[in-house]
Amino acid sequence: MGFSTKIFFITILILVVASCTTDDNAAKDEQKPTIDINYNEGFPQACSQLVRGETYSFKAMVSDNAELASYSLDIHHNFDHHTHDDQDGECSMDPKKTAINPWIFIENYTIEDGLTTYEINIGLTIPNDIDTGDYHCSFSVIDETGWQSRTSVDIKIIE
Amino acid sequence: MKTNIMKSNFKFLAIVTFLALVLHSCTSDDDGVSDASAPVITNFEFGEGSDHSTEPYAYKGSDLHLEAEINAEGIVSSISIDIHADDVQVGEGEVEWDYENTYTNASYLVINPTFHEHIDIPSNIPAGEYHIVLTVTDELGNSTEVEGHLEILDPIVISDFSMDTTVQRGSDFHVEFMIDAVNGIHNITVDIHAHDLTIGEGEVEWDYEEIFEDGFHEEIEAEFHKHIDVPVTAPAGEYHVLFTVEDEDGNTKEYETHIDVTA
Repeated sequence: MGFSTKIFFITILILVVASCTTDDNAAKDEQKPTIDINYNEGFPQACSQLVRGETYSFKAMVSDNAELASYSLDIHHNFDHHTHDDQDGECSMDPKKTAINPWIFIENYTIEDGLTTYEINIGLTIPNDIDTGDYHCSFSVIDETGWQSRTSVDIKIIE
Repeated sequence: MKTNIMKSNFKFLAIVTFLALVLHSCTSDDDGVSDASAPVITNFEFGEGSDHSTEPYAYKGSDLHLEAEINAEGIVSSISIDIHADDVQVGEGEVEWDYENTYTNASYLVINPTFHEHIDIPSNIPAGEYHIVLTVTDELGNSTEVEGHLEILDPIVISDFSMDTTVQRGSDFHVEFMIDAVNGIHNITVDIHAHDLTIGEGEVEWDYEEIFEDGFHEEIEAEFHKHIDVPVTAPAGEYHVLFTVEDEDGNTKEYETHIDVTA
């Protein structure tokens, strides 16, 4: 076997090994991000009462093993008791009622590149003219791979 | 000379085999990357909106709850719902219901969304069996479909109807029927009138309208049993009799019949 042939084989071998290695690196991200409101500043906590016209900071901690991408906040009425939270404890609910002018807030936000932990902090003023009653507040977070995690709490909006 | 050719042939073969192996493995790898498995839909449930039910029925004029867990390796690009009737007769005053909607909310465009929507069911559609199809498509174009059957029910049902067919004026006639109203009865209106009857001497046009609420209000099941007086002055002839049951949600159900008033 000539010298050049040897070089040729070695090159090919390296290529094969290298391509295998590349594949291994591309191993899929199998981990969902995490989202948590169970810390001192987390807001709203389950069964919180929010007053119309007041401004609140909606806060949750999110993290991911690789990279965070975006989050969203969704607040909608639960006058028909259609949905329940995933937090401990049952909140006392008002009787079912028909919505007249319910508050609906749905907004998506992106998270700057390269972060694995982030604190969501959204300042919101509860509109004065909306129906009071039971509401549902749900945070969600999405990582760069596309995994989503959510957490939701029952809250009450009062006069 | 001959051995030399053999040698280089062997070398050549070895290289070709090696290359083939390398290329082959590359090809497999490429396939592996682009071929994420199709979305998987689990726990598809639908039913009465207000109770978060998984029973596959819902009432006209209420809302339909839909929920499903989705896992799409290739990331969801859209979720669609299609609801259509399998084989229902479209009655008078009813319209066919063929519902289609595609959801691309940002919160669904992930690997593992939970699909959750409430769809308003029109009150003027035929009751009966409907077919419901949920389709999830991922960013690579793979799609998965699940389907089910949904029974759309009338919120108000009138049954066992029985009424006299003729009545002599100055006396009363008998009517009775059963009412089932899942949302609770609000009231029952009885409307009796005639068209183009000649009003003779001493006669007075008879146009009867009465709203019954006592004993029915908020009941979900009731028997309507009444005796209705026909004035002695009512012109004889054929009268339309219209019963309207209204429920607490504002849905109505009409039942129309005729009665002959004799002199």
